Amino acid sequence: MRLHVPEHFRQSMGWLHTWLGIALAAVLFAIFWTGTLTVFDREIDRWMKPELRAPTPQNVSLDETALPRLAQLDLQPGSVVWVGIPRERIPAVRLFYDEANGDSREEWLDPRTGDVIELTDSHAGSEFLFPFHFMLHIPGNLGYYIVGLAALGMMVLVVSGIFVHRKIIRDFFTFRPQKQARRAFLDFHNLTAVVALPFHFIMPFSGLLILATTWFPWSMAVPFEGDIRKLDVALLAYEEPMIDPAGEPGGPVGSLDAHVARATAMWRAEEGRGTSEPEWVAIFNVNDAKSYVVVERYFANRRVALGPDQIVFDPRSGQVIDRFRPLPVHGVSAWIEGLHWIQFDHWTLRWLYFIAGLGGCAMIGTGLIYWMQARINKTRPDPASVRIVRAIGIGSTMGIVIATAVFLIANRLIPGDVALEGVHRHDLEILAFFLAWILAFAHAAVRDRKAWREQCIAVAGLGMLAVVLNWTTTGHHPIAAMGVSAWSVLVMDLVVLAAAATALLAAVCLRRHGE
Amino acid sequence: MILLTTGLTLAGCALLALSQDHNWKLVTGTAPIGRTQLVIRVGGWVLPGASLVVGIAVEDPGFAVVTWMLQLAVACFVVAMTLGFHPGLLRLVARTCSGYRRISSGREA
Repeated sequence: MRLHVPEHFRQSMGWLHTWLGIALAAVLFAIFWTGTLTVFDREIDRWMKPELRAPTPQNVSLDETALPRLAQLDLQPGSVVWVGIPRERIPAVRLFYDEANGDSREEWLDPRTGDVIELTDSHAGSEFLFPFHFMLHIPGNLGYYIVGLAALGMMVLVVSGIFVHRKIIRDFFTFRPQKQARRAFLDFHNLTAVVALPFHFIMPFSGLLILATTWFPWSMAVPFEGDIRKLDVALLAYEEPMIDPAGEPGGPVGSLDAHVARATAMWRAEEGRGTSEPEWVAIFNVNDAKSYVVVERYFANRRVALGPDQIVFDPRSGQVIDRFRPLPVHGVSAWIEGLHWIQFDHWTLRWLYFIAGLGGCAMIGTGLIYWMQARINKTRPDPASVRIVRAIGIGSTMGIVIATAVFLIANRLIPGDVALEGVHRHDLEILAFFLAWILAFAHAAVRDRKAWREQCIAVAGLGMLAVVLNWTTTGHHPIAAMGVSAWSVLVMDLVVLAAAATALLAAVCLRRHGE
Repeated sequence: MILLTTGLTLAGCALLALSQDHNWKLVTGTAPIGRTQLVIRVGGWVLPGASLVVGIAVEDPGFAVVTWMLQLAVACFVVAMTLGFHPGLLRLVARTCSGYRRISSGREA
């Protein structure tokens, strides 16, 4: 299929594609890389917090785990307690509550005994890599705005890229490694871009939609008299109390298991046996005479759409007092948001997202390399523009991969009882990540062309070291992990080893072809 | 079921690639013949379509469409890599489509 567009328009799109790509490549790669890893954020959590490696038991009782613990706590009267029900990827009961002194706390409980689990102090995948994906850990809203602009830029790059290609269908199957390196890199860039074109467009679009209330808060809030809290309640359900506390002490909330069973039965009656399970139980107005219980799930009937579906119970009578489902207008955005969040239980799709994400990283990396190759003349020294883009390119691509490997290694090496004034253990892991990244940039600037190969070797060595350290510090080498059904650890070790082997292969190829 | 949909998508993509003259010649070393090319082209569109239908039949249409879209991407990538590094691996597909005629080793060209 040949796109018939005027030549001057194609050239304009080519200019836009080239320079916008160069300007955004570093930040886009960081977003793509952390987004790809976030697909398996809970598995990374289990690798970095060995206390969570045991498989999730069936039929966990909240009455025997969460309620005894809540009875021991000095909770702030009238506050909200959230209880996370263990799932396949989250093998613990989670409590989020406010203490009487107003401090917010989070606890993880053993799903078998209800004992508090002393977790390794790490932000791991879900609290470091995941937020990095959408706010780059830049304080304030600046990170959100940078990511938003990058997402917008990504959509422009995708559209302009379509116009740049003369033969888009032919590009579906074109990869010529035997041609000169520059041609092969362009083929690979085109191939990874074209085969996953819908993915590369939908991801930034859905990302923009998810954080629309951050980027366009005033316009979103106009229908709600400018009150963003009302907007959140309309779209996201009962995060806020719907009944004011009485201000008088109340009795126990009764059996949480019974409320969960009742909600599950109601959903099953509506949707049949394939219905999804509840994910959260919330006790609103805790220890108050007007307390009530909300049972919540996010993926109705195992669908893509992400939206809260809540059943509200009166804990004294056990009666259903309300039911929240998002407004119909929320349906489309819920589907698109669910597509981006990928929190549903669908392992095939999870792996396909991971592969497509890596494809996106490869697309950005090869695009950068092609730009540099086009400006290199072997008989003359590289121009300053190439040297600068190369240093930024290597630092932002190989550098973040090295930083991630160092993050894993730091997790296994930093002692659990490390005590530094005002510095938490998880801060040290994050410090190691950013230090390694900065060093990678510096190395790329100093070593120039050789940096590609040397950083590939570094990735290979660090990846293997991470797996070995996991073995020596937890005893979970791949075979032992298999023995205790720690599948997430086994697969993560294998993926890290595969990445190390790929990096080593790339280093060998670079050596063979003279960097 | 995932194996079936993946197989259909992969086979469809292989046929779509072979329906392009330059890829057919790369794999077989011969020029494509009209009837064979028609069979390949139809198969190339029908098999991925069948994969989507099977997916929708067994799970939520939303999941099926997204899974199919990404399976298609991976399948296209795999076929492109095969054509790039070991095009001979697709000779069996080409032979099957042309009724085991006219293609010998693919090295004539």
